Amino acid sequence: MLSNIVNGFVNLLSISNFIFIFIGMMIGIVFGALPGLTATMAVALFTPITFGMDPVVGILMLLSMYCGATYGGSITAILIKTPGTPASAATALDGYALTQQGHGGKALEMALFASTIGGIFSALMLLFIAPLMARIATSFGPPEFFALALFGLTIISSISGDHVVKGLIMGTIGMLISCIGLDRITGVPRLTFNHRYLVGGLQLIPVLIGLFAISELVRKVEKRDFAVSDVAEFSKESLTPKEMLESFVTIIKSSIIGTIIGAIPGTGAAIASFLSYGEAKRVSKRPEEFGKGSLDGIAASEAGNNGVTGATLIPLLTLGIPGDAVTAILLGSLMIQGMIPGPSLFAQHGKTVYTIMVGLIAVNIFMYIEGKFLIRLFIKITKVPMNFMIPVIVLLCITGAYAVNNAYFDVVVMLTFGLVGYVFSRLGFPVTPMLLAIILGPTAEESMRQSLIISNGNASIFFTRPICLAFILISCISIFLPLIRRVLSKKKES
Amino acid sequence: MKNKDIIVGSLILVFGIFVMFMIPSQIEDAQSVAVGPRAFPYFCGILLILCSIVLLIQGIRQGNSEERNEEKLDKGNILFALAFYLTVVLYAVLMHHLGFLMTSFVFLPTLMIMLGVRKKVFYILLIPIILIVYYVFQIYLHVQLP
Repeated sequence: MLSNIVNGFVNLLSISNFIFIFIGMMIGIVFGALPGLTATMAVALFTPITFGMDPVVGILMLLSMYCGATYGGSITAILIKTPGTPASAATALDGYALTQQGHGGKALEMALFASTIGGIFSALMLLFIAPLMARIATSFGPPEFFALALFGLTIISSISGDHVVKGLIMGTIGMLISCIGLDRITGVPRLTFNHRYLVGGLQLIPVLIGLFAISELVRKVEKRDFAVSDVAEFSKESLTPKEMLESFVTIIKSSIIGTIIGAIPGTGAAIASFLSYGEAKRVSKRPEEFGKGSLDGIAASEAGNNGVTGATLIPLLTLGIPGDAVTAILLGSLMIQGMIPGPSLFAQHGKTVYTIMVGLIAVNIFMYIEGKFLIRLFIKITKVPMNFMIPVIVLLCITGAYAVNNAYFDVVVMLTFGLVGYVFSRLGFPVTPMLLAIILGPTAEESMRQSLIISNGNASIFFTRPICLAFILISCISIFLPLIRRVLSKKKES
Repeated sequence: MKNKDIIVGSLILVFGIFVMFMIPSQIEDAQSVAVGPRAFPYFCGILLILCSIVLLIQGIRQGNSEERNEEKLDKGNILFALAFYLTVVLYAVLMHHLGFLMTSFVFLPTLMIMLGVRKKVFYILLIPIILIVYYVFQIYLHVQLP
């Protein structure tokens, strides 16, 4: 393993890697900082640009966007009390209070410092845990993959919030969409309506650009919220070593919380951030300061949400299960590069995977450098009005969808899914379940049918293999957990 | 106005039934395998019907009491959003026939005017952005833009 890590490090050392990490990080921070633009959108929009790149360069650029956007959310949270991403909502409480007290510079530094430590911690965990997981997973056969995909699909239940039925409906429609094209086992065309473009199935990238970019833009236009908030003035103020030391325990603890939460599919950065914040407040010697400008609060929230970034890649790379919308898109980006996430990834693309994992540490170091020296530039960019950004993003959406196959049909697909995403989200249907189902549906179906071919149609194959059975049980828990939680919280209320 | 869930639920129910009827004509059955190509789509169709019935029941039970929590529908804003969407569609359609550069230089400023961008700087800024995107895709990524 050590030699793999060293090799990964050596492969990483190339100018082009660093240039694209730098660019990706800039884009990520800007997308994170602009309220309404998210990490998900950044990764979806820029995936087409990575097609022609070397896998390492392309994936590292996308990961930089992911980490950068997670950190970038804190900038606007601190300066204008509008978290750029939901995961920075907890940061806004203390960050904006500090800005008003004239310590905005300190708050920004703490957010950056905590984000970096959280991100590096998480990247290290990925580097050491993922290979072990992958080794266990190499013994998996079709039944295990079916159970895994099933588990991935049950995440729909936890990410749908209060609308489990609506999430399920979206998931089911997603699975139907994934059926379009040639059946992978018998080669029979399915749901193609004799349309020659549909025989190959729908391309993932246009679908997700439509669902996550176009639909968001239309929603923004509908709300007409283009106003640019006044960014509070702040003085450049550095953290003292004493302040860093004081918050260090909180940062490490929050990084651990973030990493654990991140490794569980269906959770995400926002939950990690709030849990870390709550925990820091609970053990703090000065809990009364929380919400009124506590540096510890910022440290907890930011280390927590960036602690998620590396850990979400553990189930993604080793088992092929995306935990949320961003990782689902990253899964698509990996597949386009010919790297199918799952147990065989480490065996087939070991060199690339190790370089990416080591690269994630470099990504976080870049984040610190850019956050430290280019912060003024990023703040200027947050003043760019949304009504200018929207047409620019439209341009990127159309060219991005077109770039997948040089096919105009993909643009049509993208625009259709843009409308679908807008209408459904307008009616209170969550969109992410559809994406998860489009990605996991084929794996679930194929592995289930393969398993039944192996067992001659005997379904007991799913219940006699221990790992498979364990995942099926976890899936059951995962489906019913939100329901149980809701019943419990209702009891509490009454 | 009736609860939205009732309307959406019925539409999805109809869609689910449509899926069930469509499968025999759209997917050939294969006899040789244990679980054929039709099984999974059928499963999805049934699930869709079941879910839509649950949504319908939920909608009927809640009646109109939930409307307070929902986002208000403002017809003007929705029409504006649709106009924006249709402009984007038109942009994409014309791009296919007239070419990337020409339509971009016409439609992106149009979108900006629609959204109320006042400062001239941004209109000027648009020119290099379009050219950079064109350069990156056409020359660097070898995508044949229309």
